[in-house]
Amino acid sequence: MFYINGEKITDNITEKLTTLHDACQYFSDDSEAVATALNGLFVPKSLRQTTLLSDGDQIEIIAPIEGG
Amino acid sequence: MHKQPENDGTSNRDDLLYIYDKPFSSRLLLGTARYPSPHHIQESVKASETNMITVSLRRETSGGGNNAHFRGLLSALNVAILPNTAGCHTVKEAVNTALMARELFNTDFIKLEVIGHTGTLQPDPLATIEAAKILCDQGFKVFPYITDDLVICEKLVDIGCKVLMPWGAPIGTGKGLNNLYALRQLRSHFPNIPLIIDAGIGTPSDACIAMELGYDAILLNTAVARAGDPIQMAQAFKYAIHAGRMAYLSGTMPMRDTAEASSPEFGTAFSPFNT
Repeated sequence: MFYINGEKITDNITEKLTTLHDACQYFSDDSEAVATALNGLFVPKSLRQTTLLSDGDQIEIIAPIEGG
Repeated sequence: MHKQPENDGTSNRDDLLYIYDKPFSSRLLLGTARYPSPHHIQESVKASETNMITVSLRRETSGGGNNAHFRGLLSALNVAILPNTAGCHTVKEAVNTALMARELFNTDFIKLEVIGHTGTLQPDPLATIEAAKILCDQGFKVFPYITDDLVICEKLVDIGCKVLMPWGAPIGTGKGLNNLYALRQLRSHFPNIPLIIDAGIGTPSDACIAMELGYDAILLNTAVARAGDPIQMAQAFKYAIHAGRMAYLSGTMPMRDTAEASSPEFGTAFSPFNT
């Protein structure tokens, strides 16, 4: 079990997601247009495919939004 | 409806603003939040003639449809992007948000916000300095949102910030320039550092006064986004900022405590003497 953007992802899905890249593909329509962090730390795009996920991980998938 | 003349004189190529050695012809930085619609963002940006807009980062919604629209809008606007770390309350959050922003927008520019007090959204000065140091060391061009505290500003310059963004008043209040004395002190203390008023601006006259004080630019959002007619207000700010800049460059008259007639005092009719 892990969390994507604070949302609990159930075991039947997490067992198919091995890497951060997999989690991005699962959650986002365009994984090239988002940035990621794992357990509070930024993970660059170049490392997503080699970043393995563990039980309890907190994944952040971040996109641009309006801001001041 | 909001037609502008093709050359209304507000874009002065001889008076460019340089921030981290990058030239800007506009002295207005515009936020993109809280507008009634994406159309209002687009047209307000155009009407303001800004060269730089601020954006934020938030969790992708599952599927990401809305974010795709916003990304499309940003591409169409074709202006520089200044991502912010709004919503961050710790050094770790701000630094990691900045790293994500750099990857997403392919820019070293970052508007650093580390909030210290929820009610006033007052920046945490110690955390801002710590985060700014980490980011400057990693090659970021940091735009720190900070209060008008001179000592904090000095420390930010010492660690590598080449622009300062003191608040006029708390974010979103529209209270204008709360502490003219402190803002004047900052201007005279940092004659060669670009100073941008960030936050608190409510009306074009607030922006004009800041520019008359010698501030280099204004960053605002809510004053335009929440105006009855945001697009027209964006134009109003453009003109006010230009007027304030022209006044500053012209040199304002010295203030006096006593009256002084502006008409000639000699040769007045009915005078008992011919002076």
